[in-house]
Amino acid sequence: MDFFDALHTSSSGLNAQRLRMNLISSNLANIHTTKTPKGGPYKRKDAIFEAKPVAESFIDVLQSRGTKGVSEVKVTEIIEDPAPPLMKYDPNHPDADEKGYVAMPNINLMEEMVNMITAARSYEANVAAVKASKSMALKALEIGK
Amino acid sequence: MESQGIFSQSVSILDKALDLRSKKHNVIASNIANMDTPGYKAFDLLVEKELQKTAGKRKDIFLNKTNKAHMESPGSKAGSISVQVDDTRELSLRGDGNTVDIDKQMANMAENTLMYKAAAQIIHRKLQGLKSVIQGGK
Repeated sequence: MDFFDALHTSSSGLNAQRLRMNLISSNLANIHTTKTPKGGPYKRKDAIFEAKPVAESFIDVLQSRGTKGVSEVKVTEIIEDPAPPLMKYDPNHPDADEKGYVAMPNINLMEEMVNMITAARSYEANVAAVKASKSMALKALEIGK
Repeated sequence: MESQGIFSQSVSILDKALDLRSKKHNVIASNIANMDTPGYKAFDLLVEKELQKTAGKRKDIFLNKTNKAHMESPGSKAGSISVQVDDTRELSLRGDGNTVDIDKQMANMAENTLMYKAAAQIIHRKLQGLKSVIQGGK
């Protein structure tokens, strides 16, 4: 089913971009968070994408290969930025160490904003693809009407 | 078989065109979905080239007709469609090895959608015309 393949591919793209947007929101919301369940300041999170070939026929599934040229997006992993926290001098903060420094999340506001715009535009591109699939399928339904 | 003339070749060619266009749409949707996937290589399907290929094959490949009542073979079916890596891309500033050019993909998608709709429209008109003739212009 051709159009459903296209729709599934686009929806995997939408899903991946939305997840990325969620992570960016989380990064922005926690830009000053010093306490986490794991302890220590919040760490910046990012999603890792992978192209997963779509299998069309039984033999493709059997030989674990996909139809050439068509791949869905799969989020393989959500990584935490290994960069060291930013040390900010604030002796009155309850999380300050003996020298008066507080470990703050190493999140760059500009970087997050740029990533946010990229994710939003990518999402829009996928929405456009879904709309095109839908209009083509509807047009095909008009044949012989 | 006179009735073959009703549909002539146009419907079977348009049918093939619709098939190829929808396959191309799949490829473009995949490119757009993977625009942020590191290392992904953009693919392309050249519909015009594929159509020419089947037009040439039409005479070489046919089903064996052992009875007068057998139907004509409609030409080779989709199966040997070649999807190729889109390597027409020029200089890229991206460092992640991804070769998707989103502007090009969106333009290709718009064109492909229009061509698909056009083919569907032509088949529709053709069938409408036939219907009109069958009903005696009523």
